[in-house]
Amino acid sequence: MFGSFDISASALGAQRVRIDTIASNIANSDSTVASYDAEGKPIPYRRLFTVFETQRTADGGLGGVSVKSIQQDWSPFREKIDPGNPLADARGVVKYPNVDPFVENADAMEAYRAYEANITAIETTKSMMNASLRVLA
Amino acid sequence: MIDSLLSSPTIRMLEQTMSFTEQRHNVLLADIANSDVPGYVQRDLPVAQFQHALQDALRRERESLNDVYDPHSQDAVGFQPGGSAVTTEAVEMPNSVPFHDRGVRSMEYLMSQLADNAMAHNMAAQFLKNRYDQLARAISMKI
Repeated sequence: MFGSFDISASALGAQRVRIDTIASNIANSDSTVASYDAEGKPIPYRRLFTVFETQRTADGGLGGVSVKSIQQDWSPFREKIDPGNPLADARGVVKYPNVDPFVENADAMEAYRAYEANITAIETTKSMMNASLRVLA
Repeated sequence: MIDSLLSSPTIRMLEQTMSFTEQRHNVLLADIANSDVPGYVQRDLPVAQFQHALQDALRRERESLNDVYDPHSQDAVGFQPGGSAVTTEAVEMPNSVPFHDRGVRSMEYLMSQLADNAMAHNMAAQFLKNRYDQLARAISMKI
C-alpha cells in the first residue's frame, strides 16, 4: 500500500510543474522581447503548456503520472497598434505574447483542484493505512 | 468455541474485502493522478463481480460447514488472496461524455468512489480487529 503514496505524489509533482508553467505564462504575458530572430527582430514570449503521460509499473500495471514535455503554443501572437513603441513594425503594430490571462487563470484553477484532489487521496490512503495497522496493534 | 472462531468464514471474507479495497484504492488513485493526461480513460475494479464471488464463496462455506477446513483448497474461498480472479478493466462511466481529447474521467465520481472504498476498507478493518480481539479473549479464557 506504500505504493499508493507514490502514485499521488507523482501527480502532485506533475501539477506543481503545470502551475509553475502557468505562473511563467502570466508573469511574461507582456514580455514583448523573449528572443531575437535571424534578422535581429524581437520575438515575444511564447505561451508554454505541459503535457502529461501515464507512468507504467514494471509489470505494465497502472502507475502515477509524469510530465512528458513542456511545449510551446504556436498560436499567433496578439497584436496591438502602438506606432510610438520602438518595437512597432512598419504598420505600427507591436506583437505581444499569445497569453490569455483568462485561459491561464482557468488552467491554474484546474491544476489547483487536481492538486487538492490528490492531497485528499493521500489523506484517504493514510486513513486506510491506519485502519490496517490498527488490526495488528 | 475457538474452532468456530478459527473456521469462521468471516475472517477470510474480511481479509478478502480489505485486499480488494486496497487494490481498488490504487486503481482509483491512478485515475485521479491521471485525470489530466490526454486521452486517459479511467479504470475501475468490478465491484459487483467481487461481491458475487464473495457471496458464492460464503454460500459454499455454509454448505460445507461440517467439512474440515482446508485453507489451501481452491473451494475454500471464491478466489485466491490478491484477487487474481478480479482483474482491472476499463469501465465506461454511465452517461459519460468523452472530453475533447477522447478521455473519459469524472472527478466527482472518482472522489465519491474513493471515499466509499475507504469506508468499506476501514469498516472491514474494524470488523476484523473486533474478530481478532474476540479470538484473543477466547484464547486468554476471558470469554
